[in-house]
Amino acid sequence: MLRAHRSWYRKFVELNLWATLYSSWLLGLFPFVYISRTRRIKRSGWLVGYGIAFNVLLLWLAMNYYEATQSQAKEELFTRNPLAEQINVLHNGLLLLTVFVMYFRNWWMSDELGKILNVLLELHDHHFRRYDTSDCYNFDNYIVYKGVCTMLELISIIWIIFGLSPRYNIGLLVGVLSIMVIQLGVFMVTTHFHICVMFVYRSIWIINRELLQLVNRLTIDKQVTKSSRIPKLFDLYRRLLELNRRIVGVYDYQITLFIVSLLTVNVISIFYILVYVVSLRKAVTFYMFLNFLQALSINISDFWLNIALCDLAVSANRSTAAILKLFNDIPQLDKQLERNLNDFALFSSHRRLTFNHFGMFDVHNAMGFRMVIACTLYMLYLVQFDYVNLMRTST
Amino acid sequence: MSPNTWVIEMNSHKSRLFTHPQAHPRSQLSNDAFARRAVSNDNPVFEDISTILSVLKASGLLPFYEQLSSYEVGPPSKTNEFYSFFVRGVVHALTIFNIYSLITPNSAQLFFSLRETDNVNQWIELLLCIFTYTLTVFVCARNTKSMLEIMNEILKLDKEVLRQFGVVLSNNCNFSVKFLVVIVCCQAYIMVLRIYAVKGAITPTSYILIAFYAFQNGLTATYIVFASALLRIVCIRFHFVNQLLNAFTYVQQQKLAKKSRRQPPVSNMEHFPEDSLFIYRTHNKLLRIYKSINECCSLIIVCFLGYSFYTVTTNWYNLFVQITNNKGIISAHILQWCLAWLCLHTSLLALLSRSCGATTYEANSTSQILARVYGKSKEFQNIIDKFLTKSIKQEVQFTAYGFFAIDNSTLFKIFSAVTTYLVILIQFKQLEDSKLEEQVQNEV
Repeated sequence: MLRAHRSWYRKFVELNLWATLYSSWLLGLFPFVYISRTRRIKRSGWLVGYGIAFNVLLLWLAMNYYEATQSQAKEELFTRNPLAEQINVLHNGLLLLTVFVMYFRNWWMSDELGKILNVLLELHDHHFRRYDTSDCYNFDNYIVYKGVCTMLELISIIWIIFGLSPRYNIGLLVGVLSIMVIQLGVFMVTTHFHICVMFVYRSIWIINRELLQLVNRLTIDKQVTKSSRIPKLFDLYRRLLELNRRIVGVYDYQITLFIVSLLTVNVISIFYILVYVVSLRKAVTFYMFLNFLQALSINISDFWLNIALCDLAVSANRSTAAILKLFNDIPQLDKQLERNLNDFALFSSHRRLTFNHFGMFDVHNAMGFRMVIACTLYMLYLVQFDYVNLMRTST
Repeated sequence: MSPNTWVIEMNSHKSRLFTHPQAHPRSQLSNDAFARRAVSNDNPVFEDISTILSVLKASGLLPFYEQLSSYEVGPPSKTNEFYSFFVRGVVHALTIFNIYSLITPNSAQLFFSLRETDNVNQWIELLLCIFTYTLTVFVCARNTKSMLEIMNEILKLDKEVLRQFGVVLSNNCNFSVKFLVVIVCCQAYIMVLRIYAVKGAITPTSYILIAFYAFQNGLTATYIVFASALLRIVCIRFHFVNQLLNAFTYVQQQKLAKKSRRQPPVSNMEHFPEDSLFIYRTHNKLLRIYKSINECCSLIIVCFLGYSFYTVTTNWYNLFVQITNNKGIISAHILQWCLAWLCLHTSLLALLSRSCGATTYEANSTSQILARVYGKSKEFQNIIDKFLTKSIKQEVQFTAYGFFAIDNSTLFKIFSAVTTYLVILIQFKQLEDSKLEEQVQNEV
């Protein structure tokens, strides 16, 4: 029963991966073709051109029909609170910038990305393919989470826009569709990063398991004192760290802007709802409340997924060093093995897997917590501004 | 791959060490404050924290485990498992009833305050309390197995220490009973205050709400005390390992050498290779237990910290409002109420951060002590280096779900955050007041 469930789940994971690949090709965001003879991917100029043309068209559509997608409630809010309108303009600017930078970086860095993907493919083919990874549950789970999150985000956009504005016409439909496709593109770029990190994570997980098996064998069987696998694992570990650094370098701007825009969306939407309820003294219907709640929770979970992903890889890396400590209490070890272990331990304690963006901040749970706290504070400041505004208008 | 799955069999090594236990210089160990010589077979395990364990077992947060021997506990029997399941079901049913009566006007009697914002604060506090306790129940139900594993690991370690050194490690957790008394007193007092504050006849729904609220608060607090007690137990084991290692340091060796100057010289260092293996192994095991405890409790601790942060802030705020509004005259009722809450939460926060801090300190000081060990030959130096190279930059931390490390500095951080939020709340209040004044002036 469990096994049947498991195989079904794995198929779903594969479906997610395939869906990501094909939709990225369709949107022109993955300008590579796979050459099965050399087992490598190659950048294709045609695909880049197609991607640029397609996305420029989409942006033009979205800008043209932007007015049609605005809702009644928002207009009321802006006449009441001019600050909200200014914030809205700024926020829209930020979102546009995010889209531009993301797409531009995606094409600009595609050469480097292609090289990285080729290295990943090579590592997989030569080293990691032969290991059984069916019990690496976190890998499967995180791929599924990301896929589900992307779907939910898209559904939530449809729900919000059609739920708030009852004026259906062709302009609204085209506007919503183009915005949705652009959003899907943004999510696809982040999904690429997500999947790359997941592959790095799985490789580190395999290295950890190999090390653990070695410790167990050495402790149980006292005859065995030698092993030639350590230098190989060490080399793989070193290459993975280097690869991870390059991946983070390619996706620096994209991920940072994505996280920032998710956070600002959350802060601003809570601010809007507070102004709407408290200052305008309008009753919120249950439907509206539900709408607001779903958008907020999906946004927060998407944000947290970005953080948790990095934290997962970082903690897997931390346990590599902890596993190496287990070699301490084996009494008789071969000289060579001992030396290799020491090298590995020193390297792993000095160089860790980090997701450092621009050298400014590392992404892990503690950083995510700090971001959330900062957002709460900003929201409080905004609400205080609104109070001050209210006093001015009343006098 | 969680660290709980690290299985390392060490049988061969144990038996080798056990062959010459008499030849060991162990006199210095019996001086250890935490160690006492006692051989007893049928003592219940974790005797020091048995009260708190039985409270948690009765409320379904911990399983009614079977004691297989004095160094092993087994999974609960079917009836006991069903009992825990049943209690959890009742608790969830009560929670749903509570939320329902909070939404409907049944509970209007309990929100008696004049100011709108105070009622909102109370509401949020109630919801946070309900959320924290429900989460505690869920997490405990999910972690039943790993909790038993942690207990068994600790007991196994104790057994090995007894076999090696003939020392029974005491747990020194008497504070748990004191804290239990404090919690019960505070909650009972708050309950009485609450009942007295309600005007008119009290409906049965209100009684249920008040009682269940106190019950939830008390049990969450008890769980925190239990987590602290577990950490203390681990701390004592770490301390024992450090003591063992300390006997080999240069200073201790010098002292011993001075004492035995008249007698023929006895070198204690000859047992260092064997003992070091035991020490390294125990240290690794303790680190694993420490990490498992962190994984089991971290979600509950995060939630509790959030809840008690909110409670402490609102109570300080209430005190402040009382002082400024009534021009210095404080209502005795609110004063008692706030002080009871502050006392309870502050003491719990202090306990938690202290025990986390102490354990982390002990765990991290092992490598410092090892660095002082006198390695007179190449072989000893190698043994020492082996541990030290693998401990570089590997400070352990007790984290609240990776959000922040919990140690002695946490208390300070929480109180500085409370101050910041207090200032923001007071600013809000002043804005609200000035708005009200203007409205009144306009009407006049």
